[in-house]
This record gives sequence, C-alpha cells and structure tokens, in this order.
Amino acid sequence: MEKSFAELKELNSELKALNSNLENLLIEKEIQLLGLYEDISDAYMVIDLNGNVLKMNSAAKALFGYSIENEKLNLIELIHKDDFDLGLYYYMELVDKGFCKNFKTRVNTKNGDLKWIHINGSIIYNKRGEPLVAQGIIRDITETILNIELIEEQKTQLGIIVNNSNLGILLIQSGQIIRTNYTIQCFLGYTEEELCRLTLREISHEEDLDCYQDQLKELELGQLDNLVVEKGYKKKNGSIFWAKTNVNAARNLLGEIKYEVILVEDIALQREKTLMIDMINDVAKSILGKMDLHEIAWEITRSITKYLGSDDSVIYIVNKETEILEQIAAYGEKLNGDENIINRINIPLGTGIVGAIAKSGIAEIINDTSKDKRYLVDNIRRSSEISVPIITDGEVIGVIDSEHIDKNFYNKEHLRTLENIARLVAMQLKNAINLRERERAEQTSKELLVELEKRNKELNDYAHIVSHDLKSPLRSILALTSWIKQDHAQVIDENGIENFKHIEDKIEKMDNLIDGILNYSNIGEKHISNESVDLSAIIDKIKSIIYIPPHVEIVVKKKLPFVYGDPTRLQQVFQNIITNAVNYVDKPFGLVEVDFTENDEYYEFSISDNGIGISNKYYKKIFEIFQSVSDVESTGIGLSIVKKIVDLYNGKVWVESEVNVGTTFFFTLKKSNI
Amino acid sequence: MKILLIEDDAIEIMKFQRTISSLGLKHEIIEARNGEEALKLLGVKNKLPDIILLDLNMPKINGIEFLTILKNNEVLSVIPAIVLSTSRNNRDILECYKIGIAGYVLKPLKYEDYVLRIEKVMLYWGENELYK
Repeated sequence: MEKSFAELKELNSELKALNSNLENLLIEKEIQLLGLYEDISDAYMVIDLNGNVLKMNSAAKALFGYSIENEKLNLIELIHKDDFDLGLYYYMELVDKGFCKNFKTRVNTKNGDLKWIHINGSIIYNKRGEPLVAQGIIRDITETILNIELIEEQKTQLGIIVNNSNLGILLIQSGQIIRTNYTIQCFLGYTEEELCRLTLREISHEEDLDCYQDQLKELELGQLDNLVVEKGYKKKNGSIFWAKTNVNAARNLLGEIKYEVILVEDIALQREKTLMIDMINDVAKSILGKMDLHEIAWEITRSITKYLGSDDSVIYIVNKETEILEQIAAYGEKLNGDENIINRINIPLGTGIVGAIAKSGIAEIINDTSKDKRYLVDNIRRSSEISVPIITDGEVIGVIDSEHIDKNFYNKEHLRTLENIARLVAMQLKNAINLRERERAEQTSKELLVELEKRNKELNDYAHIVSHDLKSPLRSILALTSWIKQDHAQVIDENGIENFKHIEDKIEKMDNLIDGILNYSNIGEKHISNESVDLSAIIDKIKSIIYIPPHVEIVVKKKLPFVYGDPTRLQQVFQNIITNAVNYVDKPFGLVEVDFTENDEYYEFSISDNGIGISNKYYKKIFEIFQSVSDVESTGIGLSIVKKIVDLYNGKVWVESEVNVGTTFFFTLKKSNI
Repeated sequence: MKILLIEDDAIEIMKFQRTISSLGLKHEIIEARNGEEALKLLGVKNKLPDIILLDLNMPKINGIEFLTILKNNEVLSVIPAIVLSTSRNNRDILECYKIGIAGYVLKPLKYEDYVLRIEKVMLYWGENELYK
C-alpha cells in the first residue's frame, strides 16, 4: 500500500512535469499562431492585462487608425466613456473566466470616428497558470448596428403609419387573417383577435367573390402582383361595408405567395356620390313613360335599395279617402321569390314614423329607432330609418321609406338624394295615381251602367206587369157593369144609365193612361229599327187613324222628306202633336199646318194650330209626364212621349204659343243616319 | 169543339163562359186556373182539347213557360194555342209567335167588344179542320 502510494506520488509529479511541458508547448503554438492572424481579414489584437496593445494585425490597424510600431496604444482608453461600465464588466469576466464573448462597445478611432466593435477574447496563461496576455478578434459592427437602428426606427415609423392610416390593412397568409390594423377593426366592427380567427372569404360579401375570382388566381400564379377591386365586406353585425381593395402579394424567393397585404379604402362617400347620380339617372330612365303606379313604384324601390345598400325599402301611397298609407312596392327582405310583398301593411295617416312623415311632409332620419316611440316593427326590428315624403302641389301623395339594421346608418347625403328622387317622381306618381283613380271611377261607372241597365229593364218589365195588373181589373169592371145593365135593364132608369156611362168613361180614360205609360216605357227599348221613313206616308196614316172633326183641316205645306228612324216612334211624335193640335182647336175653323225647314245637319219640323194657345209659363211643363195643362180630355203623357222620342234621336223640341191665337210645336231630327 | 181555357181570373172565366153561351155556341169548355193545372189535364190522353186559349200572366208557370213546354211535347204541340192578353208588348208577341202560337188576341176594354172578338175567333176555329 505504502509502496503504491509512493509510486502514485511519483507518477503524479511525472504527469505534472509532462503537463507543464505540454502547456508550454501549447503557448508556444499559440504564439506561433499569431503570425497567422497577421493575415486574416478580421482585426486581431494582443493586449496585456492593463489594456496596452502588444500586437495588432493590419486589419486592427485599419479599424482603429493606430499603429503600435509608432505609438503606444491602450484599448481601454479607446472605449467610449458611456460604455466604460460595460467594458469593465466584460474585463472582469475575461479575467474571471478566461474569455469573453459578444462584447459590443463603441470605440473612438484615431481620426475621431465613433465605431461599434464586437470582441471575442481570451486570456493566455503562462506555465504556472498565471494570466499572461489577452488576445481577441475584433469586428467592426458599426454598419450593422446602424442598420438595426434604422430598421427599428423604420419599424416604429411603419407602426405609426399602419395604425394611424385611413386605410384598413389586413395581412393574410393562405387566406387566413394574421394581422389587422385599428382602421379595419373600426370598419368591420371586429377586434384584432376576432379578425385573426377569420378568413378573408368569411368577411367578404358573397356577391363579390365570384367577380374577381379569376384575378385572384392570377395573383396566386404570380402573373399578377397587385390587384385593385371594389368589393363589399361583411361587418360583424351582418351589414355590408363597401371599400376599394388593394391586394399586394409578398413572395418568397421561389415566387410563392408568403403574405397578401390588403389595403382597404372606405369609398362609401365616393361610392354614394356615384351611386346617387347613377340612381337618379336610373330612376329617371326607368319610370319614363310608365303610367302604371305599381310599376313606377317598383322601379323606384329597386333603385333606392341598390343605392342605399339597405335591405328594406318601401313606397307608400296616400289614399286620401281612407286616410291610409298603402304599401305599394317594396324591395329587399320584404319580397318573396315571386316579387310579392310579404306581410303588406297599410298604415293609417299619422301612425308610425311613415304616417307621421306623411302628415308633416318633412323628411326625417331616425338614427336609433329604439328611442323613437313612433317606430312600428314590421317583419323585423331595424335600428335606423329614413323616411321622405313625396310631395306635389303642396300635398303629400306618398312616402319613400327605408330601414337598416345598423344604428346611424343614414346620412344627410342619403336624405338629399331621396328628396331629389321624391321630387323627380312626384309628378309621374301623381299622374299614375290619377290614372288609377280614373280607372277605378271608370270601372265604377261601368258597373253603375250595368246596374242601371238592369234596373231599367226591371222597370220596363215592372211597367208591363203593373199595366197588365191594372188593365185586367178595368176589363172586369166593364164586363160586370155591362152584365148589370143587361141583366137588370128593366130596373135601371135613365139616371142609372147615365152613371154607368160615367163609370165607363172614367175607366176608358184610365185604360188610355195605362197605355200611355206602356208606350212611354217602351220608347227606350233596344229593338228599334233604323230605316228610311217617308214622313208624307206617316202623315197620311195619322190622318186615317185619328178622329178629325169636320171643321178642322190638316195641311202639309210642302212635301215632307224621308228621315232615318223607327217608323212607329216617328209616327208617335207626329201623331201626338197633331192629336193635341186637333183637340185644342176652339175656333169655328181649325187649321193645323205641318211644315219644315232644313240646314246641312238637320230638319226642323213645325206643327202649328189656331187653338187655345199655351201660356209661356207652361212651355217646359207640358213636356213633363202627367202634366196636362188643360182640363180637356188628355192623359198628359202624349207630349212627354214626343220629348222622349226626340231626345232619343238627339233632337230638340220646343213650343211657341200665344194664348187664344194658337200654338206651334217645333222639333228637329238629324239628317244623318242615326 | 173542346176548348181548354187557362185563366186565373174568375171574372175572365165568367166573361168567356157568358160570351159562349150568349152566342149560343155549344163548345165544351175545360177550365184550368194555371199552367200547372192545365198540364195535368193535358196528361189525360183521351181528353185532349181541340184548341187552347190562355192568358200570358198567370201564377206558377207563366204563359210563355207553358207554351214552351206545350210546343216541346210531340203530342200536345199540334193543338192550336191562342193567347188572350191585355198586353200589346211587342217583345211578348214576338216570343209567343216564335214558340209557335196560333193566334194572339187582345182583350178589348169593353165587354161588348170582347164578345164581338171572341165570336170571330170561335167562328174562325169552328171553320178550321183540326187534327183528331
């Protein structure tokens, strides 16, 4: 054991000696290496532990501007005073650990420049392990540092720009949103976190996607680096945000798209202006020449909806009679597939926002309908509303109304535009409303006419039935009186016979009256013939039918013409007047004269007598039914029949007379075929 | 002659009967108060009349309706039907002739005139050969 211990001790000292030899050898080798550093491009220095430079290669000379051949140089003195503490720290480390890495400091060079250097150094020890010198490789990192600073500075500047930009910015990687700025968050109503969970497709308005699909492809394939489109984005609340979109592709070295930077510009205002002009044009064009109320209203709602970007536009028309606003056209969600309005509502004047506007005639924007008590919920509640009256001649004839699910959706520009539209369409709507009213009135009068015809027919039938029912009893009475006279001839005296005669006369008069009514009601009947009638023949016929006392003469002053008409009715006219004339003759010699004059259009006939005459206060009355002026046997129907027939032929009838001298009846008949 | 008189008015029936008897005619008069009753009577084949006299205004089936039924019946359509009416209405007259009446006689106002007219009608049909 002891021996082995001694052996070990000896072995140990031998090893130590060997080790020392090796160490000296290593130092020697390192010193030899110094020669190599002379030639490397990085600066190389050897300093003593006080910082005095013992050796430096040419690169180091170039870096610091000093040369130790000519002057004494201390590295520590070169360190910038602000970095001194840091330098001290690294020096301690170097001494402690024997090396230091990544020491970055500023140094003053000989020509006064401030340089950033990077030092990796180590201590060189002697055989006894005592620090001998320090060596180090120094790199000039001035440029790199400056670049980093620049980048940092630029980064900050860019951040400021990005976050204060009026443009919304989206950074997209493989369709996924990975960064956003404040502006786009405001535009769409999402937070950064929410947006970063969505894809570009998910926030795009569907209608648009297809429109620039091809361009997106080109962008992907590298055929295009930049794409500008106008598209809609879906906001968090579901409404659409319109923006000009600039898509820029950032590619890697292989040309694959690394990112897409999307710049979103709010063009709502610009879009509105263009849309407004477009719409006014559109509306003007589309309603031109249209007279159908509904068609016009549809065109307007269609255009307005497109312009406002709303999902609910309606046109109401004021029904003056019922004081109700009728929904005549709608667009958006209020339409089903067949262009029919779902749940068409009518609003009483003064009710709801629309009703209030119809009454006040003043357009309104309601920014928050939940705060407006007048708001009526239609199919769904919408948060803002714009309501504009359509006014013509100071009268509200309708209301244009639109609602939107966002609060504060409508602006003054919208209001102005809708007012313009309202003015533009007012006249045409008014005309269309008038037309509709006229058509309704025409329909009503058509119906009335049908009703009237029906009533007339009923009245005629009625006249016939009544007449028949009246005539039959008269016949019965006369039969019975006749039988009494026959069966009791012996007991009836002259006075009785006389009374029976009175009964018979009265009944005869009544029968005539009934016939008169029947004739009168027959005149209007449809089946009247229209043929050429020889009036001379008519007069001859009348002369043969009516009773003409011997002292009365009927004279036709010149040959009467042929006229077109119904022979029976024309005969009635002449017969009734002539019968009257004959009946009212009170002179020893009666003269009834028939004559006529003519002009291009009509004949004017006259029948005069030298009878009792008619006071002028009765001139009108005599033509009215049941008006008999005298107490002479007369039903008072004859002249009313004359008037009715002459009226039927669009002629005129009148009378001139002098009491006790005579009367002349005039009537006209048109020459043309009636 | 066997005469079917369709008349709802009692006095009119009396008038006709008195006229026939006052004229000393030996016609057989069958009375019906309305068209329905008349059709029942006409249903009995061996009792068919030679001529039919009827008023147009009757309750239930009116004159025109009765005539239409009559003229659409093969057997009955050969019986001459003469209308006795107070109505001079052209429309009625036209329709009756279209259906196929044998005559249209107006009832005059005065009984004496009525007798004269019925006498002529009876004389005329008395002279006519009728289908038996």
